[in-house]
Order: sequence, then C-alpha cells, then structure tokens
Amino acid sequence: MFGGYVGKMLRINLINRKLSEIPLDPKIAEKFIGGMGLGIWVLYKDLKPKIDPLDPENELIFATGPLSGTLAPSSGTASVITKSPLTNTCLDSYASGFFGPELKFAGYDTVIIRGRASKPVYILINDGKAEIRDASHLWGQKTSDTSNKIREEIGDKEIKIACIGPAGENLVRFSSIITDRRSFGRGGSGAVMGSKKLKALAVRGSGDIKIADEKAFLEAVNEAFEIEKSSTRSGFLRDWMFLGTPGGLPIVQMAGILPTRNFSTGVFEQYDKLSGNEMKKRFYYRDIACYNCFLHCGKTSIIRDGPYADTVTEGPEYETMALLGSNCGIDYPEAVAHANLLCDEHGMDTMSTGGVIGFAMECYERGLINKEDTEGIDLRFGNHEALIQTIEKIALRKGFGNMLAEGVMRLSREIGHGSGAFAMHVKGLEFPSWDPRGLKGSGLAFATSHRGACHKRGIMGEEIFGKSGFSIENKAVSVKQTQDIVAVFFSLGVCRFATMATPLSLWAKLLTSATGIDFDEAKLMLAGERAENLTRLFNVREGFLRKDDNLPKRMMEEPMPEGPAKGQLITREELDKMLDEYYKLRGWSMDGVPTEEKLQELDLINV
Amino acid sequence: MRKQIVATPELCTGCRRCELICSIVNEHSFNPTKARMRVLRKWPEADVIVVCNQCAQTPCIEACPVKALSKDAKTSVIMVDEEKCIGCNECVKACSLGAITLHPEKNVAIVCDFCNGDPVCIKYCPTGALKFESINVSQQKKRMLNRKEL
Repeated sequence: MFGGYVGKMLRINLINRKLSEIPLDPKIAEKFIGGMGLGIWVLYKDLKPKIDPLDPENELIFATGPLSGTLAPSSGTASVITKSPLTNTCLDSYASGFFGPELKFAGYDTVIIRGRASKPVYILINDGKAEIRDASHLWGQKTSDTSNKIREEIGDKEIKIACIGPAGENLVRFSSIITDRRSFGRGGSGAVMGSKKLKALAVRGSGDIKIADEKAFLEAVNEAFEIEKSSTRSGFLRDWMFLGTPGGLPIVQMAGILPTRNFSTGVFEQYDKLSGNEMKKRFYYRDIACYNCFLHCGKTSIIRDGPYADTVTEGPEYETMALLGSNCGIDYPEAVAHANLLCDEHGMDTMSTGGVIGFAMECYERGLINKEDTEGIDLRFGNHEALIQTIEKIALRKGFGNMLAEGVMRLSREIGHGSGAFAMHVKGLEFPSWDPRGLKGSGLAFATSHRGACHKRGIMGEEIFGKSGFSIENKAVSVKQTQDIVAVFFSLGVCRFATMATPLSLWAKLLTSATGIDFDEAKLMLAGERAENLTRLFNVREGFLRKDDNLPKRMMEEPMPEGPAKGQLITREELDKMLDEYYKLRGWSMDGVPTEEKLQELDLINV
Repeated sequence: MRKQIVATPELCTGCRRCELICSIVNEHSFNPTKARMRVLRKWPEADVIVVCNQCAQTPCIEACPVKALSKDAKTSVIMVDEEKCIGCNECVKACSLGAITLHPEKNVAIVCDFCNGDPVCIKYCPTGALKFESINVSQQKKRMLNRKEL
C-alpha cells in the first residue's frame, strides 16, 4: 500500500455484529484520494435511492485522508459521510481535534457502519481490534460525560472518541457528533448515529503512518511552515490565531452582511460585543490547537461570574457568535458561550440551532406562534434566557422543542402562513452566517452545494476583500473552483483553514512524497471535480434538480433594508444567469444533471 | 552549562508537532507512542510537555537490572544500549516524570537523546514553547520577565 494510508477499511454491521476488514484498493485510493472523495463513492455505491436516512440501511462513514495524522498542515481532520436526515442529500461533515489521526493509529483509514443495534452500543477500536460494547449505561449522557466514562471504563485517558449526546439519541434532525469539543456539526449526522443506537466510536492505537519519501515530504512541510508563519503576521489569519474565528466578525458587519434577527437585516448595532476582541477581554483563557496545527484558532473560554458563571467551553466560533448571537438579536457574549456549551454537550449543530431559533423568534414576534405554543417562553429577539431554555427543549424534543427539532424547512411547513419566505435554508440546511444579498457569488455557492447552504464552499473572503459581493460577474467560475478545491482538501484529510495560505502546488508535493503516487495540481483538481460530480449524481438520484438550487424568498424579494449592502438582493434573473453559467462550466445540463460526456471525462460512468 | 529541553506550558497549545517530528526522525513513521516526548492535555487548564530532564540522581539507571542505561558525561543524556535492554519496565516505573518509556514494538527503552545535540522538536514548535537552553538562561529570562523595571 502507498505511504500516508494505513491501507485498511473496516465495515461494521450493527444488526449481526459482523466486523469485516477490507484492504483499501490502491486504484480507488488514487482515483478518489480518501476522506470526502472516497466516502462519497462508498455511500453512492452502497445506498439504494430514496431510503429514509434514519433507517438501518443508511451508512455512517468515518473517513480520513492520506495526509491525516502526518505533518502536512492542519492534518487532524476526519470526515463523517452519510445521507442527511435534515436534507436527504448526501452529507459530508468535518471535525478536527485528534480523532482522525487516532483512527489511523488504531489501524484503519475508514470505518463504514451499517444497520441498527438492538440496544445502545459503542464501538471500540484498539490497535486493530474492533469490539462492539454495551452502552446502555451511557445512553442519555452528555458528550463530555460519555467521553470521560469511556476513558475510565477502558482505563486509557488517551482514547479519542466521537460520540452523540441526548440530541442525537432523540433524532434531532440537526444533531451532531462531538469529538472533545470539536464538532461534526452540520446536517444531522448525530441523528443517523442515534438511529443506529450507536453512542460512540472510540479509537486508540500505536500504529504507524509511514511516508514514501521522507526527505521530500519534510522539505515540503518546512516550506509550508514558512508560508504559514508569514501568513499569520497580519490579516484575518492573524486575527483567527489570537482572537479565534470571531476575530473576523467586525469585518462581516462592515460589509453589511452579518445575519441579524433571522436575516431580516445585515447590521447589528452591538456587533462589537460579539467580536473576538471582546471575547478575549471577557473570557478567553488560552489558545488551544488541533492536531499538528500552527494556527491554534481554538480558544478555551472560562466565564467566571454573572448568570453564566462556570461555563467552560471551546469557542464559540464565528458562525456560532453570529447565528446564536446577532441572528437571535442577542448581544450578550456570555449567553452565546453558554448556548455553545449546551449545543456541544447535547450534541447539536450550533449553526442550525441558531437558524431555527432565529426563525422561531421571528414567527413569535409576528404572532404566528404565541406564548401558549412556547409553553410560556417569551421567544422575542434578544431574550437570552429564552434562547437557553429553547436549546434544552430542542435537544430533548420537549414541548414545542419537538417541532423546532425538525429544522427550519419542516418547521415553516408546519407553521405555514407564508413563513417559508423567511425560512433561511437551502435544501433544508439552515444558512451559515453570511447574508448572500451582499455576497452574490456565495449565494450561488449556497444554492448549489451538495449538502445545502454550506459555508465551507462559499467565496466570502474573495467577495468581501475584493469588494465584489454585489456583482454576479465571474462568480460561477469562482464557485466551481472553490467547490472543487475544497473537495481536494477534504479528500486529503486536512482542515479547511489549511487551504488559506498554502498553494495547491505544495499540496501536490506533500501528497506525492507521502504516498509515492505522482500527483500534480491538475490531477488533484480532477479528483476534486470528480468528488463534486459524484455528490451531484447522488443528489440527482434522490430527486434534486435545478429547482432545488434555490435561495429563500427573503434573499430574492426583500432588499437589504440598511447598512453597507442596503438595497441589495439576488433577483430570480441574477440567480438564473449564475446557474446557467455554473451548469455550463460544470458540464451539466441546464437542469443541473451531469452529462454523459462529463462523466466520461471524470471516469464516473460505471461507478 | 549543559543545555536541556525547556518547556513553557503557558505557551503550549497542545498541537503535538514535537511528538510527530520526533517519531518521524527517530522511527521513520508518524506515531506518538514512539516519540521521546509526550504532550498531555488537561482540559481546560493547560497542555503539558513531558520529556527527559536528565535528573542528577538517575532513578532510571539505578533501576536497570542489566546496566543497559548510562549517562553521557558531556551532554547528560540517558543512553540506552538496545542490545542489553531486556524490556523489563523497571526504568519506566522508576522515572517519576514518565519521560522514559518502552518502544511499542521493539520493547526496548526509548528516551530523549537530543537527536545528537540538535533537537528537532525545537524547530517544529509553532509557539516557542520549547527551547533548548541551559537552566541558567531560562531562569534568567524568567527573572527578567518578573522584574519589568530592569
């Protein structure tokens, strides 16, 4: 097997408890690389169309890439790939921390889980030996307690764990999988895991990750290190390094596209209270890094006094500060930190949670739901106590939390009265914290990305720093490039932030020297394009077409009311023009279906 | 004065690059269990680096029943004679820091030996938490930091 890879996959059937070790086919590794590409390929082949994602036939795939666990920049990333119970599209979700590398040390590149256990279980992989263990004593536990108990039970503090909390157990449609305060956040992978009665995947090992050409690899690593050092001397990367991702929040406000009160506007009066600068003054304790990461954007937050005293959490991240903060009209950073902790402990996507509650708040203010519906909670914008209470109700599906747990798309259908117009989602995935009315190219990205409104494939940086957010010119090509290049990095098994400073040519060097397989930039980009087309094939098979590459009415009919992006919106005409251009570039039909020719080019005909 | 690896926990972010460069250089694989230094995360307080401090009284050497361990006169590093080492774990038990351990496959003792005088981990630490210097120098720095008027 090539360097970088362990060379093994593990299939687990929770019904008959069968464990099968499968060698990783070198031809497949070369074609799909690993991580996202490999995981989507497995999912596409294994799943029948139109299954219910919460049925046993769905697969939950934990995948690493050939560079995960090596000294390639920010190599701690693992991906979870499954069919989303929130969107019914294919889903890939990412978390760094230390889980991915440990899975490789434990002996596998990829774990594929199918079926449903008859009662709660967890999986332990210890130096190549996999075991399905009873988890009835863990069911109901929050994520930190779950991880600590497993470590205690096995007697090893260095076990790395990916687990669900009560939200995943309760099949909250946007529940997440947590690995030591890092989150496979988006799309509801937690609910898939919960539906399988799988509480945790615990991994530990003393295996090797070998490199084909150590000398060339370390040269490339050193080159990357120098680039990273200079990239963090100034700019947004420096902000992230010392202030965390919320260090960038003021920039979003200045661009006039900070989600505020359910995206009803793009500027928030008290934005500076939610910025990284303010968080550092109030409660950041220290910098914390993921595996092999130079940036250390993680921040340990400790709140010592006030109503949220004794809140200890990692982050919150920018997306959380905006979606559980300004998007809910909340200017109280300690409250958002506490909300962040609750989401992590219960295992819920902070972004979708903020999106759903922001939506519910608007419905409450409009009188579409009332105090009786919310069981006495005064669900107005800005009410941080209401925010906290609602989060707990959602996680446990208590009272009206049960409706909110379905996500904004289903909730707006339930509530009716035209609320769909301000239900901020694409394909069911709640919006990330960027208002596309002022970032039209990112709007196209959100409309077309395979898992729904996905910030990881947005072109926000380009549009904000290039001041081109109000134009639709050349956005299609940018979006295609970004989607493809992100697919590369997620297949290599590294963090999205690893892409920010280092050139693709360096990654070709890293991959070639690590694996011994010749990769140049073109071959990498082809693999990325291949992965993106495969996600499209999956979605088309599920019934997703051009009509689903759409944006909410609010983005297309309500001009931004104020601020630097005042008057902006994305018209039907503009979106159609961008889509036409995008499909043409992609080699898809005008209905968004990959053509035979394109599939031939990408060697995806008999996949 | 002899140099040693000095770790400043306040600067450590727990990225563990030091473990990785150590294992690839010494063992030709990425494998923290084969590294001569380890980083422990105590959430939320700190990340703590553990590496051999070349103690003056060497409990590891005293504990070895087959005289496989010795101390280099010039650098003070603990040296392991892999031919003699029987993998009995007595040195591991004797070390109060947990800085010496057994190689997971070869079952011989492994301990930091400064990579032949120029420790690689120092160069790979992104925050400057690791330094290769004498106690004299690191204490001097600390004293200066505490007396800002100097």
